Amino acid sequence: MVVFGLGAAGAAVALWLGRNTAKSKSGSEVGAAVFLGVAILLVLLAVWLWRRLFRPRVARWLEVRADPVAVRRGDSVRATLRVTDQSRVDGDLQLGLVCTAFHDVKVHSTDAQGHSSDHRSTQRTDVVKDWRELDRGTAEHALEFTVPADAAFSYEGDTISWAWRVSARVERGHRSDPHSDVPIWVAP
Amino acid sequence: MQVEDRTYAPGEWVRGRVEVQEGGHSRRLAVALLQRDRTSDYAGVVRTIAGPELHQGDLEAPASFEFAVQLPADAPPSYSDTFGAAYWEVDAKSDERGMDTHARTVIRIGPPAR
Repeated sequence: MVVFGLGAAGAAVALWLGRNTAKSKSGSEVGAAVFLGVAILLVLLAVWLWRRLFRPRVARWLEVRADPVAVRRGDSVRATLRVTDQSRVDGDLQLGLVCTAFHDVKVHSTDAQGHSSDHRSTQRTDVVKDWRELDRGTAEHALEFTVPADAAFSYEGDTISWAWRVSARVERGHRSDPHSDVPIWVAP
Repeated sequence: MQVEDRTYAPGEWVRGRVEVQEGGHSRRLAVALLQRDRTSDYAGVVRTIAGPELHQGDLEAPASFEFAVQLPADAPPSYSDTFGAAYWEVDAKSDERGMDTHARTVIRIGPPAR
């Protein structure tokens, strides 16, 4: 879609630049305007589709709170969720305590000419996932989570980091899950 | 390098000894504590706690230097999982023209007292 958009933009530029040598100058100008409009529409549509399908959506209608937001391993966290727009819950409503490891790995790639290269990439993996199903028909929820005593603590390193959060999400199968997070700090 | 093989607490002193087994040119010999982490593909240094300078000038063998370096009070404990590890290391460095010579030992840090 982006390629077609760029093609349409190129056609608009070509028509505009060649308008003085064209049979109909006004026809070229109108054509350039039409192609420019199509290009803008295609790019906007591509951005919208990408955001809609692939980008995790932050759901402002899921109000999550964690108390306290700074704990130690083995401590408990009280998580509360208020759903301000229940009509938007179109999947499984869940509240969870999650720890994600952000770890650097070497990724090997080969280009079209056969040249291979390595680059550093940060991958994310949920190492603690305590998701609990909630009743979709209820607007307010409160749950108690315990941070496992032997789990990772919050850590911001050079090659690996561990980050904790209380999260609410609507799991929707093959589509991106609307979610809302509250980061918490887990001390050792 | 010899360091007592036990679990240290944050804020504790790490004591040990550096034995010079082979003499040579050196500008200085010093010890540091390194807060490090690693994954299966990469390793990095997060923080360096400079320790005492043990010797200045060329090193002659045999020689032995005792040292003590204090862990910071907020030192994160040693931890590892499937994806990587956070750990501490004692690094004795002979600062030389060109490549320096290192002797390194990983030490275990326990969680702070509750």
